[in-house]
Amino acid sequence: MTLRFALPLMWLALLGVLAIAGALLVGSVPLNMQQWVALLMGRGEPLAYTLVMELRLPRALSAFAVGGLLAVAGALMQILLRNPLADPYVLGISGGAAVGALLAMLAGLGGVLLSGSAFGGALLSMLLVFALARGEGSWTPSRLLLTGVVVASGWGAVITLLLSLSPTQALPGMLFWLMGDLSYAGAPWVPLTLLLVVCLVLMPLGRHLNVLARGPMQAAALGVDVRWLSWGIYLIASLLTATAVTSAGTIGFVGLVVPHMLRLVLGNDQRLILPACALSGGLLLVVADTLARSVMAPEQLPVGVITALLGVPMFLLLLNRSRS
Amino acid sequence: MTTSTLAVQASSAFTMASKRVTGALCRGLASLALAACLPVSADSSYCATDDLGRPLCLEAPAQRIAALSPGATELLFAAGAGDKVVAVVAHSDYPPEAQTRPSVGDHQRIDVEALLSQQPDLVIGWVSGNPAAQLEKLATLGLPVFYLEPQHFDGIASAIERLGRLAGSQDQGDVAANDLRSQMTTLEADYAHLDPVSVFYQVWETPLMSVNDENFIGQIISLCGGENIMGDQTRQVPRLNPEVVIAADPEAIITGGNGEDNRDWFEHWRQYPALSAVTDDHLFLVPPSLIQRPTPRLAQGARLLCEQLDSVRQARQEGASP
Repeated sequence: MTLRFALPLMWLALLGVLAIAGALLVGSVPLNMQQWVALLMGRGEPLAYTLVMELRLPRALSAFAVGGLLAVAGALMQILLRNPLADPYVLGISGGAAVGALLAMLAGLGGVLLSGSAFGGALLSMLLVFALARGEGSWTPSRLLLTGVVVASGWGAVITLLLSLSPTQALPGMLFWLMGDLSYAGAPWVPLTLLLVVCLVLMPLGRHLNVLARGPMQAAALGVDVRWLSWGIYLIASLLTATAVTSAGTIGFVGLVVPHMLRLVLGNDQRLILPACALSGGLLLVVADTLARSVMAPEQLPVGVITALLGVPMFLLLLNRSRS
Repeated sequence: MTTSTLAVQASSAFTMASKRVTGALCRGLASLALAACLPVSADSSYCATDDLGRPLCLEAPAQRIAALSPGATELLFAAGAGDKVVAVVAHSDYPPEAQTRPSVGDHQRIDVEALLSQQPDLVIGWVSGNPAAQLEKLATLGLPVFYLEPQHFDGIASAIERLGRLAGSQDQGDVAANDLRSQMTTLEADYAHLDPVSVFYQVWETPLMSVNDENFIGQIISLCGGENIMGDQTRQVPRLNPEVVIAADPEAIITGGNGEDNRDWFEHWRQYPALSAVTDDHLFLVPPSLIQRPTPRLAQGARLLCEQLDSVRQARQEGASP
């Protein structure tokens, strides 16, 4: 039993480490063997040190953390909403973050205030959906989903309105919040820590989540406090998404496809799927970001293009194989 | 990002700065660094204030300059610092020599690695065009970043002067700046007082966009004695419905064109033969690179536009006294 879990996770962890190593090796400026040796011995030239330690490493770690957060958030949303199309953004969190960020930009704020405003927008959206979906106290996945989707469309309209009324100067910075881009990511420690903590918190909940995935009625019959568990998942998934969006904008596809791919390969046991999501989401985004910044260098591609180009064929292939 | 990440960045900025004090930068996040620079700036001539109002002092003239917008590249060449430009961004096509310089990506997404590998000692950033996070990253890596966002002719002239000062080509910069100023002054003296001609300036076709009087194209229109029918719009580049143009019935329609010499946009206006500008064939084109970029070539674009408006005035006189 433990080996069944440990083996795939070890493989994924190994691949993740390799991907990060690859991300350190690849870049617009090629470094030769001597430079690497010097760097590893701790006496590298300043340029090589800056490239690897100040640019590539924090960015690769950010990519890993954000990818992991998105994949775990997506898996949780799919369980919570009992809908295979659910992704971390389906309940309007990215829209709330984008509106928060845009308002901060229009007010001339930057740096921490801007990120803080984006995070605040995400939390506001989360609370809004929570309050509206709860209504008189009755609660169903479909009610939550509908509320979230409508709030998300509302944010979309507010974004379009702000974009069409705001001065052109604000636009380039704004696109980041809509497309997602890791070149803006700051220090990776906050998302990385959150990812680790959440994996540890979710581990003992695996059994309950397995039951919940079969349906709230069954779960209630088996003695799971469905209401608390559901709100707990909602809260955690929202926090993960808000953190991911705040550090890297809205990167699509990872949260939708990674959990499905893993379920096709590893089966639907949340005790395995959730940590596997953290590792493979990170893996996918590190690889995608490395490609995004290097394939057409010096032109930098939006990472969402690469996640989709890598993910779509992989997913379709797996889907096709699992049917036969 | 949270306070703790900022603290991490700020502290890494600090260690970087102390690690490599080889650089001649006097600007940083810490105001301490600024204060330390003030005595230097008092008697050093390699000092300038950028368009965000931040002073920047270099101990020695910049030798390797990265220009992160096509406009900045053009301004640097104008300021006599063209041979010091070691990195440009996509679409930096003027002067032609600029195309031979290594590109470090699109202005909206800079390849920071490629930029660093050119080892610049001065980065010219674009306030509204470059991602703020990337410029801040460059600053934390210890590079002096000079932000530009020239708004008026005088802003453009002063940008040339300031770049000349930072690059140690102050004389050439001052000459180019004064040349631009005097050309604009001459145009103003020649045309501004003449009979007003009502003008619609078209920036883009779908959606239809124009400029207001705050925009430098709007300022050129007034300088040429034109009356911008969209001058009092609140946004610098308003998005419009063609009906407002038909209602205002301007005497001349001037377009930027989708390309340097593309008159396709005239066709749209020719659908409305009732427009005076169409009846009198007062549809004009000013190549966008001469008027839509904040560079010294604006003087050429302005001269062209003034001449076009003047041809409208002459046609009006001929019509009045046949």
